[in-house]
Amino acid sequence: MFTPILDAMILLTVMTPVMGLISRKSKKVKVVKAYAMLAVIFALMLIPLYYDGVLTGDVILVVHGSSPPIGVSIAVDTFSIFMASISLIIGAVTIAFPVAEIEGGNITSYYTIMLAITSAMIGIVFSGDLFTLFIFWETMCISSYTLVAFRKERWEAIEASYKYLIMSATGSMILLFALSFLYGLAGTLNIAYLSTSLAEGVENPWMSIALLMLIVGFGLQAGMAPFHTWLPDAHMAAPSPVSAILSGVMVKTGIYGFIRVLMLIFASMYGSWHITLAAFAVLTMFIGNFMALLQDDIKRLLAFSTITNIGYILLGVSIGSYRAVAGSLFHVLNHAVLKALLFLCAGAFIYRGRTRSLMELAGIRRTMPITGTVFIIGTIALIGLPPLNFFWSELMIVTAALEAGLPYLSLLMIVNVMLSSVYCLRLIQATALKEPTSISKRAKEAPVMMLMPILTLGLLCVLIGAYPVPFQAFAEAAAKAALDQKTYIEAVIPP
Amino acid sequence: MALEVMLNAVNLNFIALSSYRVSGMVHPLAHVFTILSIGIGGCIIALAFVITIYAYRHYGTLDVRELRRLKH
Repeated sequence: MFTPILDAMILLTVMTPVMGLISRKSKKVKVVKAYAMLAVIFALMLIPLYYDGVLTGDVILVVHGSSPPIGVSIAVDTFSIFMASISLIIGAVTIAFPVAEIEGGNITSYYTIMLAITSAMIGIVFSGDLFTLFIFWETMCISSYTLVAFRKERWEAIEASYKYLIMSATGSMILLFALSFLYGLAGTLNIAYLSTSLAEGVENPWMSIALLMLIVGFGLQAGMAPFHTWLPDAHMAAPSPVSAILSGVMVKTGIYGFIRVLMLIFASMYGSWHITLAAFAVLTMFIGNFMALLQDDIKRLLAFSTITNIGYILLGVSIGSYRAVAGSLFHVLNHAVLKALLFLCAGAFIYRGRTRSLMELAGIRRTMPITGTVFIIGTIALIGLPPLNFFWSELMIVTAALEAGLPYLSLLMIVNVMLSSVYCLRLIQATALKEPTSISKRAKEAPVMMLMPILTLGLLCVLIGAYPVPFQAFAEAAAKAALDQKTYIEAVIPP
Repeated sequence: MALEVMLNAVNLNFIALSSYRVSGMVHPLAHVFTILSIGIGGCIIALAFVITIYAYRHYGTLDVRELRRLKH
């Protein structure tokens, strides 16, 4: 129906309850988990098999129903493949992490929803028209509300999910409103057709209204500053692997929406969105950094650090040059890997220590040496020190701002990187240097099943830091595809 | 259920703009969008009700001023 990888993911998601039944009948809980992991890895293997051409810059178009301006269309380019690979890698690692917090609960529905959110994210990045994107967007949102409220016997999960649902559903409605205006202007929602027919309509005031609504709608999901308040609550209340997937890849779909819409449809209005988005980005960075300083809850602190990093990525998008977008996309990859790592480490601490408070987790590295060491390596990467992965992407964004003639933006970003090192050093001090409390003295090293995903992500972090060239080249190819309107439009609209 | 009102506004907007595009007839694409978005809206509202029921079980009230324990 769609492309092979999306079909496979949807089919495998629908099949999960059957596997759940089998695992319940055979009394082996592991069956369903192994199935979910194999499903994601299978989808990951399909990428090099089917999308060799896309990796070198082609665009694949799949049409369902009538021809492009009307029917459902799927358009896959290097940028889509880049985002889809990140979603699948982080999805596989988070599914592999054991969910101790819902042990004995409904395991089957947990894995079904995890697979559903992964396939919805792939659907979002593969969509060739905005309404298909919206349908997958809503699938992703509904799955994530359910995942946040998964531990429904706890008040904080319910309250966080309620808040998240109200805010995010409002954001989706604003997004749909913007789509209706775009439809009114062009008579279609196909991205390539919108791009060609709206290229001249710079003067139209409805364009600016639609643009503002799109920025709010995508920004709400991405955790942009005035609309970020759902993010820390949702990350805090969700089980740790869910926080990892929310923070690692789900907020990045908002960034995907920004880049796709701004670079293809509103490219001619660069002058009007560039300053607005840069202001939002700077506000996002400062709010994230200052709020992170005040937190005692380890997951809440990491969530505010996510907001800061969304600020860096948005800054790169707002500059809009090739190098800046490449830096942003490289930062998307680095942040997905690193934040998933830190949330999973935090999950292991919480599993052994039974608390989220940094004061009570003090000195836990002595009793959990492997997890603690990997966590500290991750925190050092978060500061942006040279041999690790964050340094390269932050450097790319800062230098791109300088090249574009916007030195004050790169100065603001450097100030924020300095500020973020404060809470990172506090994390290191709390977990490694302080005297152990009674809780952390009782803790034991995390089980092997938890250590494996943590070590995989830690190795990936160090690998990207030590040998960034292939990853950087992939991000640059994705940025090139994102900025190259001509190839995309020619692939969809026959000349 | 203000969300539902917002969704209805969007749907009406789609329909209104559909007759504006092509003179003399209504563009059917907008109706497809509207029907699908009504379906999606139904899903969201159903989930919102489920979470509201759980919130009522935890708090014993539906007053949003009570649902503020997460605010530090």
